[in-house]
Amino acid sequence: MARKYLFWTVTILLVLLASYVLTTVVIKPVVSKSPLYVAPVNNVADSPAEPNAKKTGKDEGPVKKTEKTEKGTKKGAKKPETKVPAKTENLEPVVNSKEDLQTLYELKKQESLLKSRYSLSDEDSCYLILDLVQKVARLEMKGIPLQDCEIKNIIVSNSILKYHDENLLKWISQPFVLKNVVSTIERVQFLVKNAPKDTIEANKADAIPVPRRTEDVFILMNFERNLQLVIQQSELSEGADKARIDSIKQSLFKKETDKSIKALVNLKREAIVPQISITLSKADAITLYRALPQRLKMVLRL
Amino acid sequence: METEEKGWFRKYFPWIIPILLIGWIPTMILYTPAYQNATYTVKSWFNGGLGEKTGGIRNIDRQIQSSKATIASLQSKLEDLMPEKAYILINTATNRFVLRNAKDTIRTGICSTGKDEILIYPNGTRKPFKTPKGMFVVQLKRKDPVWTKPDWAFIEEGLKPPSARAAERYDDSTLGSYALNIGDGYMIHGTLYQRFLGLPVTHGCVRLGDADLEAVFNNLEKGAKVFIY
Repeated sequence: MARKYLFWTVTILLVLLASYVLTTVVIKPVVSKSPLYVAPVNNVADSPAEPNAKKTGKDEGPVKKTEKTEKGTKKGAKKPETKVPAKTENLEPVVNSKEDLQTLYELKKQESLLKSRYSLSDEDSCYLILDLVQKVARLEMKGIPLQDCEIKNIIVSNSILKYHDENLLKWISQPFVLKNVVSTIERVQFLVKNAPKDTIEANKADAIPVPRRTEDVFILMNFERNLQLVIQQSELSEGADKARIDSIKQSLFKKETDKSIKALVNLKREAIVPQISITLSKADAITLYRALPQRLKMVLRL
Repeated sequence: METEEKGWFRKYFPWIIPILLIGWIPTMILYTPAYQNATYTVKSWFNGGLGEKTGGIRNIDRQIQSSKATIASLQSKLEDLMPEKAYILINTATNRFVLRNAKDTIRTGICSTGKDEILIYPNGTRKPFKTPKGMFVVQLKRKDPVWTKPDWAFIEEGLKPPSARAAERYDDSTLGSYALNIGDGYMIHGTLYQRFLGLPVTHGCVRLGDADLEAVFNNLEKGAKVFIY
């Protein structure tokens, strides 16, 4: 009888321990840690800055503000305590209509997109504009649209969709920079050929070029500020191509599982990575991938 | 005593595996993106959305107007970036080109770009044949161009390159009727091999069909922008 009680006591304790681990390691991080990492300089939440401020140096507004506040605190801690809090207390709470808020946030998102496009027009390489509202992935260089690729399907994580617009604005206010990429296709596929020894050998060489086949496309891009972009082709994959894509997916799943197990062992879990998955035609996906630079910058419109 | 212990073990042992499974399976499920997505959804039901939410926004009408003004200003600045004169876009992945001016598409068609090949010379030197990507500018326009054949053109045919000023180096038929020099020895020109248009077969230059080349030559001025991607 005593052993029976002991068994159940131990079992209950184990269950409690497991619940504690689950709560702290698995549930709490997902619920409490925001996966949307705020962009380093938030030029959206502040009052609208001069668009070409980067060139004229006017964009230092927010920086100057912080300098001022720092100086203020250094000079004397008493002065900042003056009537500012009292003023805010006296102000009546503002209630905005849903429509007004919606309009403002849509405008801010558009403003953010245009600001990013304008700042990227200074760059020498291509950049990507992922417009999930109009379902277009646009290649652009120097402010000139090179190619619009129609997005056939979009899947966005709830970790992005369920956040308030304020948080999204802070996240998308700056272009995302590519960290690393896993892809089934190569950027450049060089064929190495030895020079013929004489004209006879040169004439023997096949004069009609055989176009090289490109494998089916599956691209996974990890960006700074915690964003994962998956680009897939709309055409169905078969045979060796399908096996290749599946093996990449499996290896990614394995990597993720290993990470999860390590997190469980160390009782430390990072915020999850929000994912955007888009489907393009194979030709568009290849064009996009081959045109984009290794240190790709991407502007996102949600 | 022994039989009592054995009886206890037999009685409770089957519970161990279900208990472990009850603990382990939810743990694994909770790590899946599906769970995480579901968690965000459930949390958003309670909070009416996730993340920090600022209170009411003061002077929202003024902010809307200000935002509209900024958007208009940015849009006009971006429009200013569009070239006023005609420019050409060349897609090396599909071997297609688009000739545009500020407002419209003038012409589209097929072209041939670099074959992405490395030729290894008998002395071991490696010569890549690839169309460069980026923005270029038409530096020189020539009618009835004469091609000064570089060393690789001879090595590729199994010949020894002649001296720099040898007559064999000059070829007045290969480049077609027009050539537009875009720098670093790369050109947009015509071709004898019209049947290869649309395929990646060149040594880095961009080849166009006769009619397309004429349109491009007539529309692109010196200084016109050439975007290769």
